[in-house]
Amino acid sequence: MRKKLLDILACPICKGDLKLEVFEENEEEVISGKLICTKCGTEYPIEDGIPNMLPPDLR
Amino acid sequence: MKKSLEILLERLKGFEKPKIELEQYVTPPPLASEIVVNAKLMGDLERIVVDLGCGTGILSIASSILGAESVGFDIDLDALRVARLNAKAVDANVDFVLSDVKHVTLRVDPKDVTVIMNPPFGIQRRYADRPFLFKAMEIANTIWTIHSAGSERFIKRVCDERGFSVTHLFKLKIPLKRTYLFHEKPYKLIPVEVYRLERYV
Repeated sequence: MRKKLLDILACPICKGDLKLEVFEENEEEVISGKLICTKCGTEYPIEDGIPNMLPPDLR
Repeated sequence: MKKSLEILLERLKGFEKPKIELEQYVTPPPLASEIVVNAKLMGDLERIVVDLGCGTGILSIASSILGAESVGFDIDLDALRVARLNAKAVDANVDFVLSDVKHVTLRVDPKDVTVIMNPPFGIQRRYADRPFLFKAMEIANTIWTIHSAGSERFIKRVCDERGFSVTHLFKLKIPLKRTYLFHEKPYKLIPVEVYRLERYV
């Protein structure tokens, strides 16, 4: 995912803003890392460039 | 513009193992091209384009090629992996996100979003198209959506209930490639309806 996706997505549980933690990235995008809700703290993993925005109980 | 986009979209890959329960069919390139070119002409690609149930990404990729910032959402990780390869293959900048349709949550105002989607027709599972339409009406003021023939009464009723109007309706037949074993012919023409919806309240 490109970093500007942060301007589009919100937390599916509480609609809070998300912050990004990068594990691995290239010039274009984040390959792995996680999105963390700044409000409720839920974490959403990013793997192979694809953020998994399913709530934890649906993963 | 339409024909050259169509030729580019013909290069995209489809589902490796389509999942019948998700009604996975690739939107035929001529139809995808037709919709996205019309959306462009109406200014709908100047907003963020969201493709709900994007599958292998043809609509979001087509939108991106014509200049939109686009994001595809799908519940099927296998499809999203193909979608990412497809986007790379044609140099399109599209983000793909794993999510079920009900949990798609944006922080963008609906007036700045256009949904362009080909939801499941609800043939295998009745009413499968409904959560897609409801979500689209929650997150966007402008919607392009493909439905099976005979959806008009349903679409108009949902529009009335949720403050949308049908601004355009195209009825056409699309050739569907044989995807599942229960399809008897290599191609079948199926009648579909393409709607453009706009919020009026």
